Amino acid sequence: MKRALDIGIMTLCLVCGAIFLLRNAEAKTLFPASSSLVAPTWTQGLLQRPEMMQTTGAVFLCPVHCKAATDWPTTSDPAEWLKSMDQDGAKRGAGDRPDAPSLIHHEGRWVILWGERSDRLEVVVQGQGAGVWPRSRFDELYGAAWWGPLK
Amino acid sequence: MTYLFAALCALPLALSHDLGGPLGLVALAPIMALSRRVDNPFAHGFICGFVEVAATMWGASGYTLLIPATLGIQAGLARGCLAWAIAKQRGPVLPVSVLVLGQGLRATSVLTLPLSCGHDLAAVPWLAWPAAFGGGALLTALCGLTAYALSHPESRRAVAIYLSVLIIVSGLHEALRPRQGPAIELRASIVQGGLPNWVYRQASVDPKADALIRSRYLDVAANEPLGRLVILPETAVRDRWGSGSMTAAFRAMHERGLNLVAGVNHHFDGALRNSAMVWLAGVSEPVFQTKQTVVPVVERDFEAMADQLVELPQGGRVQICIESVYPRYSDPKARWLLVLTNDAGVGRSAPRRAFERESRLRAIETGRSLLRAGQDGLSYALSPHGQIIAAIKPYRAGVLRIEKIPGPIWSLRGAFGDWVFWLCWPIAGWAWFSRSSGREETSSAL
Repeated sequence: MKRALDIGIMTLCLVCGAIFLLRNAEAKTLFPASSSLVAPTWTQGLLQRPEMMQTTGAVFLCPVHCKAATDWPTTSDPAEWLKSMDQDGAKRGAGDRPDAPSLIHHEGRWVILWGERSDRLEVVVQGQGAGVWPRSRFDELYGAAWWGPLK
Repeated sequence: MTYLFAALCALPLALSHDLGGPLGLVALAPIMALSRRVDNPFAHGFICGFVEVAATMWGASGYTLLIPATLGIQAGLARGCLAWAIAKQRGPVLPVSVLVLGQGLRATSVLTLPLSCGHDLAAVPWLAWPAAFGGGALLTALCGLTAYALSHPESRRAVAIYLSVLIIVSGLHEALRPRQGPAIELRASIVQGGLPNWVYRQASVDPKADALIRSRYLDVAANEPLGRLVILPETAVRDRWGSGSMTAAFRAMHERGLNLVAGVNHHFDGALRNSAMVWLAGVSEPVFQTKQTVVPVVERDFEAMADQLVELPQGGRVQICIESVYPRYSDPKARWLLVLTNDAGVGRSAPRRAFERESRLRAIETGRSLLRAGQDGLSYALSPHGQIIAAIKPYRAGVLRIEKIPGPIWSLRGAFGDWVFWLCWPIAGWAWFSRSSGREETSSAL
C-alpha cells in the first residue's frame, strides 16, 4: 500500500516536472524583435545578427566621415589609424587589464572592447564583426596590448 | 532512493512558482509526507529546496553560478528546517511556523528570494485576499496547513480548526473595511516596448537594435497627448542621463507638456545609479529616485543609495524592479504604487512570472492600486485587491492608457507590517519548547 502510494506521488511529481518543462521550453530561446530584426545566433563564440558580421573597426568607430581609412590597423602600432578615426584621446594602455572602451590586439587580430557588463562583453572583432561575447572571455584579454579610451 | 524522491518533491513546488494559483496550496504535501518517515529529514528537505529553486531559476540562469547557488542553498536550508520540524511530530504548529519564518527570512535581502507557495496564490485574487489581513506570510501559513492536512490524515481535524479560524478572521477583516476607496484621477500612459532582452544586450554595438529601442519607447512616448503622465520601464533606453539623444528626447517631451516617469541610468554623487527620473510638467528640472538596493553581480555597474523618496502625482510612490519583490520597500504612506521593471532581463522563464506576482501581492498587502511598467510585460494596472484592471499582453509593444485607479483602502498588513512573520517567532518557540501532547502516529501520508 505504501509502495503504491509512493509510486503515485512520484508519478504526480513527474507530471508536474513535465508540465514545468513544457512551459519553460522557450525560456532561453532568442526571439526575433520585429519582422526586420531577426534574432542573433552564436557564430564562433560571438552572439550576433548576420548583418553585424559586416561591421569593421572603421565602420563602428567612424561610420560617416572617415571612409578613406582601412577597416582595421595594418601595423602593430594603431596610433595613426586611431587618429584617422578621430580617436585622438586614445593612448597605449597601462596595466594588464584593458579598460573598456578600448582597442585590443588579441591573438593576432584586433578587437574593440566597447562595453564590459556583468554578463557580457560588447565587442567588434576583426574578421567576425560586432556582437556579444560571454563575460567569461574577459580573462583571455588580460596581458594583451590595448589602447584607450575610445569614444 | 529517498533522496531521489526528495528531488522529485521539488517539481510540484517549481510548477507552482511558475503557474501560480491553487497548486500552491498542495505543492508542499509530497515533501511533508516524505519528511515524516526518513532518517535524515533535514537533508531530504535541503535537497528538495535546492532542486526547487534550481529548477525554477533555470530559465534565467545567465549570470554566473553565484546567484542560483546562493538562492538554492537558502531554499535548501528553509525546506530542510521545515522537514526537520515535520519529523518532530508535534502537530502542525511547529512546521507551519517554521515554514513562515523560513519564508520571511527569504524576503529580507536581495541575495534571498521569496519563491513561495503562499505568494503563488497572489495569481488568483479570490485565493489571495487573506494577504490584506496577514500578508504573504498568512498565505504561506494557509498553504502549509493545507499541505499538512493532506500529508498527515490524523491531524485533519486540528488543521481544519486552524484554517477555519484564520479564514474567518481574515474574512471579518475583509468585511469590515471599505470595498473601495475614492478613485484617483491619474491619466497615465505606460509604454511597453515588447522587446526581448537580446536587443538591449546588443544595442551598444548594433545600431538597428538601438534604433528599434528608441522608436518603441521615445517615439511612442513623444506622441502621447499633452498633460498625461507617461511612464517608461526601468532602463528602457540605456543611455546615461545628462547628454545624448535620450536626454534630448525627454527634454523635448517635457517641453511639450508631458509628465514623465522613466527608468534611467544616472551618474551622480560619484557613481552610476539605476534611477527613476520623475519630471512633472511645470517643474524646470527632473528629480531622481535611486534604486535603494541593487542585485549583486547582475548590477555591479551600479551603486545603491537610500535617499529621499520622490512623490508622484496624486501621492504615488515608485519602486524600481527588485524593490517590488521585498515588502519593506512598499511605502505605506503612498496613495498608489508604481513599479518600473526590466522584466525582459529574465527571458520567458518561471522567475519572471513569480516576480510579477510579487507586485500583485504588494497591492493586496498595502491596499493600494499598483501600476507596473515592464519592458516586455506584464504591464498593468491593479486594484488594491490584486485584480488586473487593464493590461498589455506580454512580449508585445503597446501603450496602456489609464484614466483613473481605485483609491487606497486600509489593510491590517499595510498598517502593522509583517505581523504574522513576527508572531511566528514566539509561536515556533512555544511549539518547540512545549511538551508534546501525544506524539502523532507515523502512519500513512497523503
